[in-house]
Amino acid sequence: MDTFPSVYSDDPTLAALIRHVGGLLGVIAALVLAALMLLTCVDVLGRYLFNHPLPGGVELTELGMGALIFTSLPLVTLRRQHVRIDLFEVVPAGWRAGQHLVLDALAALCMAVIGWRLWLKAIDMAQAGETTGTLHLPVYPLVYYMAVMTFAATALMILFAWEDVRGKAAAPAEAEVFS
Amino acid sequence: MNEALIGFAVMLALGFARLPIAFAMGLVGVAGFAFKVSWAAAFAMTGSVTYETGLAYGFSIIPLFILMGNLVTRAGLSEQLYTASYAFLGHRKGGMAMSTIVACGGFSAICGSSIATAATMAKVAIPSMRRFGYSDALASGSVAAGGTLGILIPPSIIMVIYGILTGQNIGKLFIAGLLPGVLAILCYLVAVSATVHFDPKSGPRGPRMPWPERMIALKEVWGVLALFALVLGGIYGGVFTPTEAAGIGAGGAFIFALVRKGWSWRLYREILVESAATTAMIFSILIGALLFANFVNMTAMPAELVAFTDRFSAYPLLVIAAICLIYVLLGCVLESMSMMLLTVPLFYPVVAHLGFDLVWFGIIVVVAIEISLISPPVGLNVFVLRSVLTDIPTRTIFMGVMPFFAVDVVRLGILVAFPVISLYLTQFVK
Repeated sequence: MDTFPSVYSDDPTLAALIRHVGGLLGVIAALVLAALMLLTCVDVLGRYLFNHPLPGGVELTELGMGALIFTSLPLVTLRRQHVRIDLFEVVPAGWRAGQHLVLDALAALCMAVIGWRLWLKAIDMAQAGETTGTLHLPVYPLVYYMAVMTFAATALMILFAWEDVRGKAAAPAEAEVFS
Repeated sequence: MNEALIGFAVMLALGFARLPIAFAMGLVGVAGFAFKVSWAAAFAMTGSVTYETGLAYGFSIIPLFILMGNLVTRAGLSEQLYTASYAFLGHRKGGMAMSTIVACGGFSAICGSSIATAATMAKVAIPSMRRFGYSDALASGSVAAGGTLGILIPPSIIMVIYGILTGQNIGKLFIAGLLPGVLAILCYLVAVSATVHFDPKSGPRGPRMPWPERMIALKEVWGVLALFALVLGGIYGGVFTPTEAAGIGAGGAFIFALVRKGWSWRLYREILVESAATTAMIFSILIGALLFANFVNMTAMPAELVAFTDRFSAYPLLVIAAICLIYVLLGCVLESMSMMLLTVPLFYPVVAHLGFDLVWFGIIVVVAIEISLISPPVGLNVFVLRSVLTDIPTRTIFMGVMPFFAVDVVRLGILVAFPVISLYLTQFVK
């Protein structure tokens, strides 16, 4: 889809796969965020107009937050939008490829650990049969989803690291910053 | 204390080597925690921090305010704000720069981000100021400085994060930002007057608008006022919580965008995806910072810092002054959100220990961050302008920012000296 740069790999099948998955994740994230907005509005309007808040509004929001953040994690990784300090180059130009390799590997390691812990958490929750308080929704499928999304981001980082090795990685896009 | 300092040093080194700041903080946090306790505990901590931060109801305020800001940015409200303030101020010396400041203030009332405010207003205000012969320095300086109002005038993403970190009432923080926001606008207007007083050519007068035209221009900004009144009034009157206000504000902004731009799946998908990506970026940093904070809390540093500042308890304002200085200096190298996440957990126990109000301290932190956004060498707003207006050199923008920087320092002093400016309105919050 148009919002994403088209080339992350010179393998056309892989590039197309990444593009499609990226587009799909974007649509999921967009829908979840829109749902979060509607959820709050309906909850508050219901409370004042019909004297009846949405049952389970709070827990639906909680689940939505998990889905939103972790669906967007591979997207941010894909666009290389993680915030970096871009003040100056500390590494000499000749070592740039090695630097990128190490950085991408470290980032992949961080996300792999997060994904691993979420996966274990999901197993625990499934065994304990944990559900939300009001609607009694099981939470573990969402936690599995969050783990899978984190692993997807990890895989992207490993792909970037591989491209670094071959000296083909695009320079990281200028970090988008917010405040 | 030593372990924590080594942790900070390693984290900064990784950051300067360009590891994304979220991973630098998380990596050092988990490794440090493992060093102090054990790897098993560190990994367990990683899992629970990630899970609890990711699935927290209260944190939904962040994506919803981001969405609201992105919706109003795309709805084109900035033009109307600028036209309206120009109608009233344009005929004065430096009037267009003054209009820019006021319009930035108005935009800040519906957008919680300084970067977005500066980027949006730059596209509207700078071309017209240049057309009327304003100097590039004054034109870009007023937008860069006016943009910083985004995080002071509620709603404000930075204040939300501060509130979460320190356990303060976000509604009170928002309300506390109102009067300091007005003070900031007044200070910036003084800075513009001073600039055109010393260099009259930098900001010539525009034509005077007759009153009927002024009223027409004013009527166009009703949407901004309505949205602001809805969000802030709702919080102030206790109609809904700040978290709910974010959802209602986003919903209102969505209706607004629909009325003005019509329906287009492509447009709204873009806005939603953009907001979702920003959310994930902020939460990566948030989780990283929380992991790091858990490590620092395992060391003796927080207690030693409190003990150290106890020696200055006879002059508590000295400690506040030192903290402000640290913020302005750190702001020269660190992005503002990471800076706040790293330092506030350390500083706020000290500040509370010295007997200061944490809502007031929140305003002080926000204003210090505002200053860091326009101070050389890496004032972020300046770089935002550079990316929007590629033909104005960075040097020129920094020159233009200097008068605003000067009044900012004075303003910070005023707010430190008179806490009542920040706290007066908060007593009425329900």
